[in-house]
Amino acid sequence: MNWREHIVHWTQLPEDTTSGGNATEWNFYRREVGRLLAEGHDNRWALIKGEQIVGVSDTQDEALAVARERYFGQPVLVKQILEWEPLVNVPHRWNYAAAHVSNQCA
Amino acid sequence: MPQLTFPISARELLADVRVNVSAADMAQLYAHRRAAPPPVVTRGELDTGSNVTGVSAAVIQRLALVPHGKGSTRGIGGNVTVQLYRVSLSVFDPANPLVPWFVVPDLEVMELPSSVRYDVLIGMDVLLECRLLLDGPARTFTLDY
Repeated sequence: MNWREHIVHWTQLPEDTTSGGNATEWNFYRREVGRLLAEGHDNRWALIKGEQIVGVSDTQDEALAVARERYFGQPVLVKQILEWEPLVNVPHRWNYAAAHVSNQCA
Repeated sequence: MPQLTFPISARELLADVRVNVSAADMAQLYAHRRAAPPPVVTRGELDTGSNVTGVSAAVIQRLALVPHGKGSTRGIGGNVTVQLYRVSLSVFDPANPLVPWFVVPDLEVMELPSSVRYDVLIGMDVLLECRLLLDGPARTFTLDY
């Protein structure tokens, strides 16, 4: 098994073409992740609301605590800043298909 | 060590589960004197092929969850994004109420694709917190935790 099948480079992150949830935050992260990596934030956790980086924390718990304090009940993006992104594995029999096909990476 | 034993039916590992907002979010609701939504009691399938536990869109809607994260997965034709939420997940046996529940109070879960038949897909992130014993001839499986 090719271990690279289970990770994706940050340049290959798919765009979220939906308008709901935290699509805005995700697409903003896609644009900013290269800069964040270049600034030495690899492996740290970004809290993003809208098109704003609220903060960068050392742990997920810290970022989630700030998110709960300031944006409770609102969609946010708490995301580990990674050069290589691990993929979520879903068994092939349950594969994401038509319902999510609009989110495909170009 | 508590244990829960379930029958294997139709070659699937199905367990009774309860999904609720995460413990941390529940505390935040209490702090704001807001009512918590009732938990969702349903069936979940254990699936070692999934590295992240998932819940259906219907459960997400009933619990009024908002996404805090996003991940990527392989879809047909390319990578797609998946929404990530935080919940508490309990596995229990309604026929044996005195057995302590297997509880994960703060768990990151993905939204399941609509093709999944069950409301909950219990993945390796949860299964690695317990011991899974599969007794094929007896058609049962047991969780030790």
